[in-house]
Amino acid sequence: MSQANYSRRLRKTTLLAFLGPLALAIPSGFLLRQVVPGEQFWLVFLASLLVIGAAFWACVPWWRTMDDMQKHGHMVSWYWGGMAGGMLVLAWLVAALGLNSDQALGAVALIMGQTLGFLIFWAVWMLRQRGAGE
Amino acid sequence: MKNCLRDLRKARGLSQAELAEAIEVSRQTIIAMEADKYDPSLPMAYRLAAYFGVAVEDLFFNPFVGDAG
Repeated sequence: MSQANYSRRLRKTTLLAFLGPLALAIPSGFLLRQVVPGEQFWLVFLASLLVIGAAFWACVPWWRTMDDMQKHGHMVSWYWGGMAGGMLVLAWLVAALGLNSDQALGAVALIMGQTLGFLIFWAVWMLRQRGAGE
Repeated sequence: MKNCLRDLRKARGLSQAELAEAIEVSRQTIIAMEADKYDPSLPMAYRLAAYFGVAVEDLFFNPFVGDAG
């Protein structure tokens, strides 16, 4: 094994995980600005899912290259930091613009989506840990 | 978890970065384990033990030995 092989691989995959989604997001954002909201809903929705899927795919090598501690750090930071940050923004939007403002409702929808995704992944994770109980 | 990773590494004349490359982990992970700030997963502990040719419990000291249960 050549020296610095692992760190080079980690650098490459980290760069891909950062630049890949960015390269997808910039033209997608430009295209989305051309669309009238609500028009061609399914086209925009499915195309967005495709772009998001591709962004996730670009992050897979990075996730697989990281060691246990790095993954643990990201999971802890994402769970506690990500949730706290989201809740902070929600509280600010509710206080500043009201609970029924478009922005606050959008934030609530986002957090509900995150919660649903969390529950699905957690359920799948739990099912995969099953073994023979005695 | 207390361990003698630093001693074994130094005995081999390896830097933290060299050990990290050999085990395919980040240098920060080696630093954290040596400083007793991170408990490795079982596969990582076995990988380290195999690399140094010692038993896992000779590398990471079992804190539960002697406990009644």
